[in-house]
Amino acid sequence: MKRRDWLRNAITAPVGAAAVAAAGAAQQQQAAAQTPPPTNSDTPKLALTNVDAIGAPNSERFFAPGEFQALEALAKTLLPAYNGRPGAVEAGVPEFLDFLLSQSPAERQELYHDGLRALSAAGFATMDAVGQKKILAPLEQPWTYAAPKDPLAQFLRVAKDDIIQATFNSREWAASSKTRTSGGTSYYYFTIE
Amino acid sequence: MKTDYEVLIVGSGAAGGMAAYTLTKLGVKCLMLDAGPMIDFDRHRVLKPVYDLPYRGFGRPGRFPHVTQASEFDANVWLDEKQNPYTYAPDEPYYWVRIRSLGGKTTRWGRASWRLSDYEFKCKDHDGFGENWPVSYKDLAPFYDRVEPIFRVSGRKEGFAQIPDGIFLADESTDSTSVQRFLAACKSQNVPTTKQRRSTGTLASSVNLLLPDALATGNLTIVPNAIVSEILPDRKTGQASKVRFIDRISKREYEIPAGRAVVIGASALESVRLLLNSGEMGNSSGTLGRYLFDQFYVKNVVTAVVPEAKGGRAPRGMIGGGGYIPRFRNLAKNEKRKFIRGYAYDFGSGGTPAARLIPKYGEPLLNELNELSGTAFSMTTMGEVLPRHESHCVINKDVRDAWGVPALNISHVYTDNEFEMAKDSMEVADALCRGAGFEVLSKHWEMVPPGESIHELGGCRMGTDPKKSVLNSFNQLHDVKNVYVTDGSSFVSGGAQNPTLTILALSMRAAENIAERMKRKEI
Repeated sequence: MKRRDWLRNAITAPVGAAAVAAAGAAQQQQAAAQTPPPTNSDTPKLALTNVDAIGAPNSERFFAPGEFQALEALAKTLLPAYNGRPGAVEAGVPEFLDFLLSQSPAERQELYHDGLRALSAAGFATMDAVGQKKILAPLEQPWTYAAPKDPLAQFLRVAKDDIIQATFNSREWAASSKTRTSGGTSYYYFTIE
Repeated sequence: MKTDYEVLIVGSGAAGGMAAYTLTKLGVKCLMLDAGPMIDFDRHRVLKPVYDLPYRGFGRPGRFPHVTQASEFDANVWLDEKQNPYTYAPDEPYYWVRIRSLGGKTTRWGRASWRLSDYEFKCKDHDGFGENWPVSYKDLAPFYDRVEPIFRVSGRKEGFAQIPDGIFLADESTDSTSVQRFLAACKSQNVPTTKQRRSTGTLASSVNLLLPDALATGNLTIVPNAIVSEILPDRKTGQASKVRFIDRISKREYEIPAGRAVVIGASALESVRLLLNSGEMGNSSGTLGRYLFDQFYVKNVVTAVVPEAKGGRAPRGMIGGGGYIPRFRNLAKNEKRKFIRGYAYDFGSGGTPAARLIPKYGEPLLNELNELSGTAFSMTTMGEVLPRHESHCVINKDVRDAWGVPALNISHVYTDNEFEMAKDSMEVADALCRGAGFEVLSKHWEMVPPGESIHELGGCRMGTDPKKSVLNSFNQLHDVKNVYVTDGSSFVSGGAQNPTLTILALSMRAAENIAERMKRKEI
């Protein structure tokens, strides 16, 4: 495997930390054998791996178990795995939204809490497709700029947007794409003092 | 102060940058103070995929309640709202979008470069509302002629009176067939169209087109991270004699001589804030901070799809490109509508409609997104907002920024004239898209909140009457002859055209006036 390919895999594939470490050690030995040793004047340019690529964060859930279960079911229903592309669950969207909502403004947190509690109370996670379709009926209404008045419909509209964006912007979605820029690549600006 | 200078310039964007460019070439020594740092485009940014960002592109929640333009990629470029607070009444949200770095907002602007016309400069003569500018198109045309080549504006000459032609890099690009269909629909409904007029290049900013030339004269000194908090008048003459600023990093306060003249180009609201914080300098008319306005936007007023392009069946050359519809309402004096003035549109072909517009979920949604991939045609309205006395800003003495400078309270709402205009724009856009044979997915007339278009204007308007205006016809304070304000705050009205080209032209004209008056020892 070429170094470039290995690096790409190391950065993009959501593999376990141990596997990364083992492969990395072997690769470093190989690279060390091929390249001259650095001098103490070289400016280092090290290949780094993003934290999300090595495993899931070990944190407490923001949503209560029933809420999280409803969120998982909603994510799976709104954006299932399809045609070789990962769905929202495969893209880790419920866990990501749990994290995102833990830091969100109170109003947004309330919208999610209320919406997920309503879904949980209705048994959304365990009901059949017919029952789910009935609950998700607002998402099959033509879109209007004004938000719907019904709180559950409001939540469903917001959750649909969030679940889609979180999936399409995920590492898993990009890895399943034929183009390297899937999900979007742009200039990131560092903090400027 | 160790540096010798004659003119002190506050701000380095379109207004400040052009003042420096013009004055230094005329041999005038200038000191430029900018509140922000210099962005080093090599050191301060790096290409990243969105999945490598901690929030997957959502950005840190709650960081920018008012800056909808900020993405997780460029969040560090926009002004921190917590360090730089401002206030408004709970039912009058105002989205003040700010950047503090060398070049100001010209490092991020959309580069649309339109001239104003006498429909704006002599607006009162046309429909009786508001005030005329103290200048006409004829006065500003020679300066537009000189600004456009600097910014290498591309466009197509059309002979439209409402958007006068300029010195363009000729845009000879061919239109896609979907755009051709749309243009034909516009023509059949007597709606004018043209190519976009844009400053070209990858940056087209004050930092690469104005400041390097000014520095090359040897007459410019630039000091970043200098937050100007107050201009101090001479007690005897009333003229500006000193400028107080705070170092952004250390928060140390400095006081330096004003030089022979001060040019303020800190952006419309910041310039007004500075004058208000300077003992309401130049406010004998009582209009300082009054007659604020901007341009309202209805983003994606219509989103449509080109049906023949569905399912990836678009032949080569069908999709892509776009253009501009200039104001076409109320050009005739006797036109009877529910609103005065008018609006313009940007339109474009390409992309995929947002998933939220498709009333489906699950596999049907994914299939529909595939079916509609690359088929979208969208339009955005940009409408004229009337400058009203009641739209204003004042200093809120209870709120200060992180450097102790009193903050602004902004009061700006849209009224029936803007609402009626927005509704009309939705109906026309819908008719034009249907006329082109497109399928309309959504239409609405919900305007973004005041300020969000980032075209805040007025508050320090020009005029011939010192009792009704703050500045004279050369952007000079009526009350304080050695202070000029050359940014968007000086606008009397704004039309629907993006304002930057006019700010550049006004600033160039004002700078030449300063140099002439200095030569004549009038300031």
